[in-house]
Amino acid sequence: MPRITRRDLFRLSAAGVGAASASGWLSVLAGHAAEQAAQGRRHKSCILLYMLGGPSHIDTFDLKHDVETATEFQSIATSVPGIRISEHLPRVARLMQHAAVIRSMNTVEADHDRGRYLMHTGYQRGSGGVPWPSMGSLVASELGQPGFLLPNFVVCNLTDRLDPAFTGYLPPQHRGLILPNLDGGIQDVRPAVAQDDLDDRLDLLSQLDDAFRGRYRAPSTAAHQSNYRRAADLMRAEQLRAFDLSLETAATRSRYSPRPFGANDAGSNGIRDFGRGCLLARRLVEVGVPFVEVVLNGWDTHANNAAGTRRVSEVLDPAWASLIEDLRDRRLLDSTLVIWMGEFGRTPRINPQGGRDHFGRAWSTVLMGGGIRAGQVIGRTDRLGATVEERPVTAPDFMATVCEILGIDSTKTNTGPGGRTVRLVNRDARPIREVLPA
Amino acid sequence: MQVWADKDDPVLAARISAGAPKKTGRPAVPPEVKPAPKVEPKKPIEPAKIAPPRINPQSALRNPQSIKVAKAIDLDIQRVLDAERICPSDRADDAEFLRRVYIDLVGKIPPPEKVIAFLDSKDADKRVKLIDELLATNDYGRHFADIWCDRINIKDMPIYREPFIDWLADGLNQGRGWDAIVQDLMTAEGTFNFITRGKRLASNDPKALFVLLNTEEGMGKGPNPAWLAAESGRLFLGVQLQCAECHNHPFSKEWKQTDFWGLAAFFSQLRSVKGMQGGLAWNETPTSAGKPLNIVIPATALKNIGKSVPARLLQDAKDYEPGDQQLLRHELTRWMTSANNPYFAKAAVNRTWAHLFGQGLVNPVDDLRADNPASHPAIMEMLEREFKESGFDLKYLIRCICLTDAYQRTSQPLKGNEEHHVKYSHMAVKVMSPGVFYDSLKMATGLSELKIGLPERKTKLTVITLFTPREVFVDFFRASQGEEANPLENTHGIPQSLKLMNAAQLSAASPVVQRLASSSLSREQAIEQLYLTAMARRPSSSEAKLIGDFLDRRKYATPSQAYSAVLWTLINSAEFVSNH
Repeated sequence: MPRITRRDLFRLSAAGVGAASASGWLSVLAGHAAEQAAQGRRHKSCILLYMLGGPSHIDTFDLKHDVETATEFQSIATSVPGIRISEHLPRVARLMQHAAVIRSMNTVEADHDRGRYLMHTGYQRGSGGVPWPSMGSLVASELGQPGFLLPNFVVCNLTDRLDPAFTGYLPPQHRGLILPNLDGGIQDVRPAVAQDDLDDRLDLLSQLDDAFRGRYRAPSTAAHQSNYRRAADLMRAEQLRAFDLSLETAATRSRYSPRPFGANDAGSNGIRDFGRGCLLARRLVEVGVPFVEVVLNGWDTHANNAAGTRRVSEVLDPAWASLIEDLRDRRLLDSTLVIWMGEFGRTPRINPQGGRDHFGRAWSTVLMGGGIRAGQVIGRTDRLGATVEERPVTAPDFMATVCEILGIDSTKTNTGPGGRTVRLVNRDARPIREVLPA
Repeated sequence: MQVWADKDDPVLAARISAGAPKKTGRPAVPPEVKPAPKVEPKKPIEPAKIAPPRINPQSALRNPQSIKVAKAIDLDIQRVLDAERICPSDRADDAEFLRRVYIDLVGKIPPPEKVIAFLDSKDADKRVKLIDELLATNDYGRHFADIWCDRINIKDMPIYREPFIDWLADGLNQGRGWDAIVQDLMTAEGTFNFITRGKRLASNDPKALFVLLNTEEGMGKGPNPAWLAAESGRLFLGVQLQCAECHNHPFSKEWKQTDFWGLAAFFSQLRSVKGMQGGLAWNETPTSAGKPLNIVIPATALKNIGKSVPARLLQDAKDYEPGDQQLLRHELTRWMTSANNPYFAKAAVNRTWAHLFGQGLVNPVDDLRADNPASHPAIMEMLEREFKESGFDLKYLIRCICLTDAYQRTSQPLKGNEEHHVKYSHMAVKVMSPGVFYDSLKMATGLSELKIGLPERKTKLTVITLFTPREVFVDFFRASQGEEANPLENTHGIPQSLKLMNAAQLSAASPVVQRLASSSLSREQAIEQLYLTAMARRPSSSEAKLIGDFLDRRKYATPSQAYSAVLWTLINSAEFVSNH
């Protein structure tokens, strides 16, 4: 019977990733990934940059001037003639040839939690009596490889409990691995006791489990043992280096987050780690993780909208731009879709606190990479940014678009609770054909 | 409210020694088929009167009926085994039985002193007595209330569990009839709040949680007839109507879309209104005689959108004719929970059976229909009848099943019967649910709470302030949402295994280890004590030697380190998380 014994690293990584393994593995595999991507053999990956709180479309990608509720920001020209965006996104502006800006999001929902659920699942919470999976779980279940040792879905910077890692009706192995602390890498992956002590304990454990399995022959025991073996393998696997940001140069790290944050930087919860989260997302995609979500908090600007939006934009811009540049330089941009979205936009109206409030009727999202037809704007809002005048895009439409870009058939069905057939994406959804890869 | 404290409760003790109240008209086993009781005349029901408390204290020891029922069950199971020439496994030994019945009835492993007392007892009736004893503890009601709380919260809303669990546990512990409990759930009124950021869904009356969970928030929204029909059907009638919301049932001719909406129509008169203290309440428009009640299939369905469907009870030949001033939700509830209802008792029997055996007599457990028959129809029929005649007494039902040889068989298969646990040749190995796992880990370590599943970084946001460590743990360990986990499957993934392997709290010297390390027990005695605590049994001689050798080899500096390592191994083992 198989037992957990000490194994050498070579065998470990061989077990985890098949043929592509050796010491110095990360660079080898990353190169391998790019090569596979170039040949169209590798599954696509997706990085969701989630803008928690709901970014103001009027102050980011759909600037409105010459009206009473105008943005205080200048718009700047971008690498695509005719597309202008906020002056506080200068580096992103130079990458617009990789982007499709959707200015006609029309989701109506204006409650944070329900909006987040809607945008993460493409369904209203509770609809059909089905608990729907989060985008990352869905993509992980469709694109994840069974023998892959790392988690197929990783979430950086969890800021509260209504987290995006939920699996809905999908089985728990598609749950996102939550990294609340980027310095720590995967939680619990370091032994609480000395490694040799742990190895001996695992050895004893496997003897006890073998005996139990011999007596009771329960399939659940085999699953239990396989889990512990894989968990122990992961603890010692070289793939974990993907989580180690200290392996990047200081120059690279500061490209992603040039602005130093103090430990007690006021209100920086979920903000200061964003750049590092993007860097980590790049490293994870390089080794084949299909879905990474990085959360940027700080967009809920009910007061002092301009100052708040500027502040987060300045965190967003270098991180997002560096991510796109690095993916491009590694020949991974075409196989990696980068989504920029929040739960909704913000009101054209400016409230007495100088803030903008929740607004779901007209707002913006941005797609980059993933082989989309880029350098274009989808849809249009009115002069205030209050209504969609052209090409409304609903949450299901958006979800269907993401699926199709990633090579997942959005009309596909899954087996849901109680064996019922459920659709990946709501029946009414129409993917945005204009952006889909040719 | 009177709550039975424990087996030492004088009231209960008196009742046990007095024996169960005599029931008249109880048939001998196997009982004959009885004619269905007369249909009750339809009349308006006062909400307050719908649920008279019914207390059915019983004890198997002095109540031979449950033993007779158990024997009849065994006969039918044996009949199937004989017909297929399957050899049943042996009776579980005392340790296996003890741990199993603790986990199944009170949701956690037994304390070590109980294990010793039970293993060493020479009382021939000790198993029967143990079942009664456990059913009389408050932990029984709390365990099943916890399970029901998860079942009704299929949409996975953040809710206040405690008040609901307190209320339901009270009813279960007092032995209230299941019909009365379901009536309370279905007809509850309450002022409630909706979830807002940083708050959980709550109502001022805990039993209103079921309706509340099926209420939609928002302008012009309220109790959702479709959700209420689907959920009350699934939970209390064991029928899967939800597919018929949008179209006729795909696998069964039994459920038509009009069946679903005919049922949903009974909830169509409910509205949300402003209640006291700024919350919301429900308001139900009473019927007028002769005015048929229709519901229009909304745009969220796939087919027949806009079609008007009259209220109709499942399998009734004609539409429901409302009388004057009826509250339809109450009418439906009365139909659902009556002894005539073809599903209600069956559904409870099937769920209870599935809880104890890891599979229902009908599977999926909530899919009762003519073309999905029970594996053992005679058992289903008898238990359904017994359950009704006991006044829908769940304790009685549990007692009948736990007394069977089938329930008391070992989980160890014999050569040749490995696959036949489905025919009850041996007990299936179940996997602890996350809640049971949490409570059992607490028992095994002596820790008052496990901070496992919580993020490493402290946050001022909701995680720490709103959710109990147990809820966080359960959330981290549970299987997919929206589906009741298959109790035979281990659904833990790698993150869960990593957590158990490496959580500091489970590697450090726990209170149990500290007590042992500071005691005068020898190493062998300490190992035995750890086995009694975590595994509810004594170690075999080969296990004792294996662990002794391991400790000799490791040469831990202190007994505390050594015992921590042993306990770590035991709680990480497949045996620990298994209910065998």
